[in-house]
Amino acid sequence: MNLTKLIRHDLQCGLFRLRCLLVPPLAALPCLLCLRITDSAGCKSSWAGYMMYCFMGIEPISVQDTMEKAQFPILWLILIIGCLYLHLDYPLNDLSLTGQQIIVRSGNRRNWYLAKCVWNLCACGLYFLMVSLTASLFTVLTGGDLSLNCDAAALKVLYLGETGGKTLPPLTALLLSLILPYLTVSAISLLQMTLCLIMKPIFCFLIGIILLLLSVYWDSPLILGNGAMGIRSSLLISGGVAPGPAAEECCLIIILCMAIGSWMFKRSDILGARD
Amino acid sequence: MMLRCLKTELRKAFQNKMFFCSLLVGSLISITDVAQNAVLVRRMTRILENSSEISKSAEGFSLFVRWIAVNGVTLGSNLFYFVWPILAAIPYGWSWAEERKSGLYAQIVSRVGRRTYFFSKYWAVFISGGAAVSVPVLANLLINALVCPYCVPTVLMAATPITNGYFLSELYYSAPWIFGLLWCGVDFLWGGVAACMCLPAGTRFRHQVMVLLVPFVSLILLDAVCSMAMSIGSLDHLELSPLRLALAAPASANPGWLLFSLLGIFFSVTFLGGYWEVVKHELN
Repeated sequence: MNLTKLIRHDLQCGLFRLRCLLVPPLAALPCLLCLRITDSAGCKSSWAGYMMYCFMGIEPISVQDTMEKAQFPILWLILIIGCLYLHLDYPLNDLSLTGQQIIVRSGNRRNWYLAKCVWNLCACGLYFLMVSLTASLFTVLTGGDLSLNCDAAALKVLYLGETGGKTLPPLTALLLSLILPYLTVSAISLLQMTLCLIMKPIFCFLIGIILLLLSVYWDSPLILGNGAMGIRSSLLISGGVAPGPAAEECCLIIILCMAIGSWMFKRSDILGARD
Repeated sequence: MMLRCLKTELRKAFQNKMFFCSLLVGSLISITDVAQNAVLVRRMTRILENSSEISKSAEGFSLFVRWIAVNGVTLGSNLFYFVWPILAAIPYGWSWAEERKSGLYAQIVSRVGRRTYFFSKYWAVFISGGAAVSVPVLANLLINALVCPYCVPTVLMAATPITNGYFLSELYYSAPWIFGLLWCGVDFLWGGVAACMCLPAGTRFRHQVMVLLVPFVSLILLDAVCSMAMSIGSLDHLELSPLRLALAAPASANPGWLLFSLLGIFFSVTFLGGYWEVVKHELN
């Protein structure tokens, strides 16, 4: 059984699951808020505007400087954590059902694990596709522009004036609203899957949440979640996180997770693997 | 028989690795909060020592302003009050699903009956979940007392987040230690009901991790819906989200009637749902 066959099996069994129906309601929450904000300001948001609002995030919370209640980016967290949650159990399920048979017949553990990595990347892609489709639905229903053009007025309202009236080129909007969040979420999801080889999945999920919360407090490009927050990008604010290094870091983590994970999976005891 | 079964369940709940892991994670988060407070207190003390013009009062960084259940600003506080449903579920929320899967459930109910099994299981899950949440909160209060100065908060201070309409607000300003201990009790109840949400879910999921995440996912979705309702409707004066009601000082008021009604609703739903799944359902 070669790698492509294993990937095809994983995509058939693990990509379109009933739980994908949870994604549109999750994405609808920030879209509804975005619609409310733009409506009250008397402007209309384009597709890129909705997407950028979904992955806007917040400015870093500074503990020393503020005694006031911090505004917690709950909708951003829900959107990112939703992806981690939906993709947490498929590899475990597969391993406890047909996975062991497949590994025996294919005779190659590394390929089985790499197929799961490809599945993970595709599943994250599907998640973002569904978020994009939800944003498109909102754009069409509210009469907005189904494009990557970001209206400066809407952007200023949505980003609380942080952008200083800048207009974003379409490619920048695509990078901030889709590519960087996708890479960041994929990297965290693969990290979670790799960690599942050495500890219980619930603790891997907790580590993912801790990483995201660390990024809420610190805007260091080394902390993964920062790439998924548009408001922290150097393309929008001065001194922000540069998109290039953030994307490179995510790609590096993805590659490392694939390499280390397949190496570790080769040496792990799969007969005792249940949870 | 019931008491013996409960004792056995409690022993199983408190003497397993998962309980200690949950306690360890909770305590680490709690210590993160103390560390951040220590840095802040040192900085503020230096400022107060070097300046002769400003008030020397330590109210702004008093123990009862910086406590994890009150401050709502530090990483420790935000992290703990975000993941507490997971910490509550980890100790023993998995037990019903695991025992059902392994067949141990059938062995026990053939000896003690389903009802006794359910009641003892429910209370063991409740107590272990409550302990996993309330112990780190209490530990944080005690360890923070080594770092932050004790100073009774005053209503006029901008840093004190509890105002009129909050649960036990009078007690917070008159007897803060009693307030702190009582709040640990409230967190115990929240932890308990959150952990018990795993019981009705135990028959629905194949994997332990998905069962353990049911309280977290349910409460976070409720939080998002409540946030929307609070911002769109005119309910922003009340904190409706159960996830944030575990905080002693959420962004909006948490009157006692709201707190205990929601606790009652959660208790009824988890108890009746669990009873339906464990006692009334056919063994599958």
